[in-house]
Amino acid sequence: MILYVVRRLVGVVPVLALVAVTSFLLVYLVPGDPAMVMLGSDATPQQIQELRAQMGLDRSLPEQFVLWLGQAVRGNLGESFFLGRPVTQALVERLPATLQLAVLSLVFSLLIGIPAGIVAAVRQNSWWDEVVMVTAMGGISVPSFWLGLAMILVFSVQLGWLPSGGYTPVWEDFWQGIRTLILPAISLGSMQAALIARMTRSSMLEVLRQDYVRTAKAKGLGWPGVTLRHALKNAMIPVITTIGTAFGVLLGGAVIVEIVFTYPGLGRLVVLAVQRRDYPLVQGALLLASVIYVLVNLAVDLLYGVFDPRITYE
Amino acid sequence: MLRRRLVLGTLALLLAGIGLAVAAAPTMAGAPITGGTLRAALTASAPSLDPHSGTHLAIREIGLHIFEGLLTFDSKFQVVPQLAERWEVSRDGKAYTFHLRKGVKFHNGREMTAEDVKASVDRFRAIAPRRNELDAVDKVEIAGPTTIRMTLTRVDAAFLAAIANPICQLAILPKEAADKPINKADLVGTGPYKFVEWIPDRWVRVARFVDYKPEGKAAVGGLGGARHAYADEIRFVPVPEPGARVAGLQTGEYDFADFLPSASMPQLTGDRSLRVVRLGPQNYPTVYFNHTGRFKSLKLRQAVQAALNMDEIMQVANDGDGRVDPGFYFKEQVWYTTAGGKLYNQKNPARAKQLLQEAGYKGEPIAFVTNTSYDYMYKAAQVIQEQLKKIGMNVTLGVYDWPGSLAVRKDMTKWDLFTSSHSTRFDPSANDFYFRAQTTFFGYNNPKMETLLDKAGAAVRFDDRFRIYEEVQRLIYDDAIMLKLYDHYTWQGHSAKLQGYGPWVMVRLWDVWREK
Amino acid sequence: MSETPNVDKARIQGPNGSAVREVIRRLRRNRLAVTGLSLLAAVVTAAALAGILAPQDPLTMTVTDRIKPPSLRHLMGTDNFGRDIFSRVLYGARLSLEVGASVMVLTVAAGVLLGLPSGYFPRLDGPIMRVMDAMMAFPAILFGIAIMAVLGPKTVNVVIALSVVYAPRTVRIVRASVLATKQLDYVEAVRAQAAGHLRVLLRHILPNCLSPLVVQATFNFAYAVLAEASLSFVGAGAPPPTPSWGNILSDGRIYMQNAPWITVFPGLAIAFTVLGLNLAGDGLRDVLDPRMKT
Repeated sequence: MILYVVRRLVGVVPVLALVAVTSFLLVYLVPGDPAMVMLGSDATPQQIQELRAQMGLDRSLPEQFVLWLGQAVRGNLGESFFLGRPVTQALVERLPATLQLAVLSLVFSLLIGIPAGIVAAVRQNSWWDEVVMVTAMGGISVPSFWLGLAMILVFSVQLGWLPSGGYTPVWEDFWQGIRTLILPAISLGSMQAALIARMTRSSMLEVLRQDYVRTAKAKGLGWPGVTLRHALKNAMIPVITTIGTAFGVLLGGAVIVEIVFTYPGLGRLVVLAVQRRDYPLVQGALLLASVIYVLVNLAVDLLYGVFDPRITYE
Repeated sequence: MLRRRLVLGTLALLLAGIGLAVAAAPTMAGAPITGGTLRAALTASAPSLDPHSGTHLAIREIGLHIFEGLLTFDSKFQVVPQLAERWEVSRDGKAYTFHLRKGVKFHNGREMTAEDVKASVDRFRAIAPRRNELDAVDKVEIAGPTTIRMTLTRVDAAFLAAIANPICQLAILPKEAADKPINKADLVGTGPYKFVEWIPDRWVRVARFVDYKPEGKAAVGGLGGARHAYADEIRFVPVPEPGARVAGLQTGEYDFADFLPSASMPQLTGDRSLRVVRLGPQNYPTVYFNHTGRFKSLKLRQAVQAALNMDEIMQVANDGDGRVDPGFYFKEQVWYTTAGGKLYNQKNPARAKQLLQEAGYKGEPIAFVTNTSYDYMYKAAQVIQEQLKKIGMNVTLGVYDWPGSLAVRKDMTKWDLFTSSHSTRFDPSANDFYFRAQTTFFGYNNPKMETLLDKAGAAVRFDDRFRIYEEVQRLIYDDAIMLKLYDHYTWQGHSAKLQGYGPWVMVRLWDVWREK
Repeated sequence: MSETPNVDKARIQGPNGSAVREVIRRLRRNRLAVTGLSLLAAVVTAAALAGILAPQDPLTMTVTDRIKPPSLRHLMGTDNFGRDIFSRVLYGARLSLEVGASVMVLTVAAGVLLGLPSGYFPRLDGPIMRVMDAMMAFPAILFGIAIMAVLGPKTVNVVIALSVVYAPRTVRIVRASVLATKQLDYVEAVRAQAAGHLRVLLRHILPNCLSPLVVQATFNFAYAVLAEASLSFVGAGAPPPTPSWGNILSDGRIYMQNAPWITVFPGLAIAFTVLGLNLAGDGLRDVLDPRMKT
């Protein structure tokens, strides 16, 4: 098992290397000049040249990449052009906010999705089933930013129940923190909630069809009780994969939601960095996002083993 | 008996008088209250807080609360003292001696002296993007503990304006900042608020500087005169989404919000807990021709000039909040003139088609570059495209974000038209670089213009300068060098509890306090 | 989306002709699929007939008529340029559907071209999947924004960007099918008969990958429609003045409080289309998987 983990971790390295190269290339291929953004559009070409030299942008592309990579593997992601501070620091400052949002969204999607899916499966083809499935469908079909904007309009502006944006960390003020997170978490999590509900439902349906379940029910043995618990455990396996993908999607989808709610997370930071061509920050952030994604997937794969004793790792 | 009635009567009158005064007091604007925190929602995140680092709006919106310069501008855009209390010019016009105010403290407690000024000016001339405006400066010498002398190589009519220009402010920093590169100097100034902390994309916090010494007693408006810090702390929060700024204002999260979309005016004006202020005008959107490409042809440029309907453009781009006016300076500025205005806003498609024919235009594609970072430019570009389509021009829009569009602009083969805007110019010389062959980025080259601008640079008297710049504006229209679209108003909003706020070119939160 | 494809295909897939008819028969009886496909059909018809149905030219600006609420003349009101929203939504359907369909085709092609070899040849599997993993590690919207910024603001680039973003998951689905199919007895038998790789791939393996691929294709279409809207929202989508649901939404968002019709209608159009696609995809999945009966 340990061997499996080690092998997986080793396998992650080429993926990260690819991510590093791709993000470097992408960022440099985007037309636009951080020096010009910094100095303003009226700057003379000579001033821009000077600043570019200061930023290290006058060296050849491969040279810049090697320099950056060399530092990156040592944990030094360079310094943001515009924030005047190390990239790692800037990212770490924003990471808690995005993580809170992602976690709350995931919790929301699990709390809504799993019970809904179970109910729909257990009461298949009943009224419950229809309602859950239709709502789930709705959740997947609506663009998250449209949902977010609509919720701000209703809950923030009209009803005044919840703030329209901003951020308070939950460790500073728990309830205020939750209040600022509710609307963004719902916007972000509703699509995942819907997907999880459907996944749970279909997975449960499959398990419920199993002979052992039908036999137990026919014999009147502990239904729901024991049988349901067993059924659930088996049904969870595909759902776990979905959680892994969900987390990755949440980190990415958070970008739009963060923009709509003016939430100071990693997503907004990266978009702003792209708009300003803050190369080190963009590269660092993309690398960080990929590392998180990869680690979460690894964790999910390992969780698999917990739920399904049939799965062994060689 | 009589005496008692007299006393009673007087007492009664007195009481009545006091009663009236007490009753009237709440309706008078109360005396400023010190204390509290002001939360201001601004549009953009500052790329830096170093005042010498760039021309970005956010740098000065915040920076003008922290830093001060030798000179600044009053509400009519005239140069007035700030850290220098007076100055003298030598007979030949080439030597300026500034006398600094005494007893002005930096936020670190030290007193400001001529050494600090020289260090700041030297740093500015070394690294600031606007340093070419001080090209004429030959020597900067300390002539006494509070005296600074600057010698120029030639007479420069725009010199004082360059010193006072708040865009990329020549802020006076402590001398320790002398050789620190951009973003590395400590953010220590002499202004009414001192820097506390900056969490990028979350906020910038500044706190009241207790030892602040206002310049003079009079309120001259603009950026000068006596400034006071009332609030204990100001938090500048970057909120790029206009809808979020509006919503935050309505829910009370922000006391002040900048650049509100005119589309939200109806619901904001109805809200009694808010005050909506119109800042007008703040800038004017422009369209540049690429004079090295198709638009080398005067007739083609004139065709575009004739076709445009500025009323329509303004209606769409800013929901009608603006002023259709030909001046390259605003009515409110001393430099305002309508010279050349007959060629502005012609809205004459028939004449435009005629000119197109004369220019020999055969439907060649025209590349119009615009950007999504500035909403009004983006909308104006779409309207213009439609208007030009109607006269038979084949215009394609290239939409980028602002840095992307700038990158395209650098390549003269990739664009024919480009949208931009001019923010409020403090001095007409600020527009010179567009029209000089050496510095223009749209390929304009006209010796007649060069001569005019040279003359303006040497004309020290206001009336002479004014007349020359009038000629310049006339030439801009006759030669269809570039196009001005309309005077762009913006809206700002604040809580009704905020007193003392007056809209001007920049956000000014000094002299502002919050009622209980 | 299940990554474990059902392997038991011998029952529906045999000689192609009768399989397709069987699928269609089941589709007709499946409520989800019918509803979904009907919705889709409605949208496609509207898009195709936009030229006839649209009361006005979607590009014409009547500035005096801006921001007018829905009325008889303007069924969905006008936008802030004075253009008829109903006409724009109809024509916008064309662009959104074109983008969605193109992305669907390209991702399926990528899925087949990369997934088949990846699953079949172990030596290719490693490198191909590494690249796919790397691509999936990028946050989707950022990837999209970056590609658009590099390629430039054109509709065709939106298609390229979205195809790149959604290709990896399609490749994984195909690969998983191939892996499962490879182990089947009859496939091993065919290979043992020294049939050429290409023959095995095309005649025996590919047909078994079709059902999860088709299901994923419909979902990719849906994702593309949603993603086009998201890209427009951040200003990196299809350029004006061509209407797309995404840019109508994006233009209208600052007017959301006092002119909600500008955002409501394109939002509903997107939801409608995506709903139809999702229902169709679900229905297809139910139909193509013989074990799942509703």
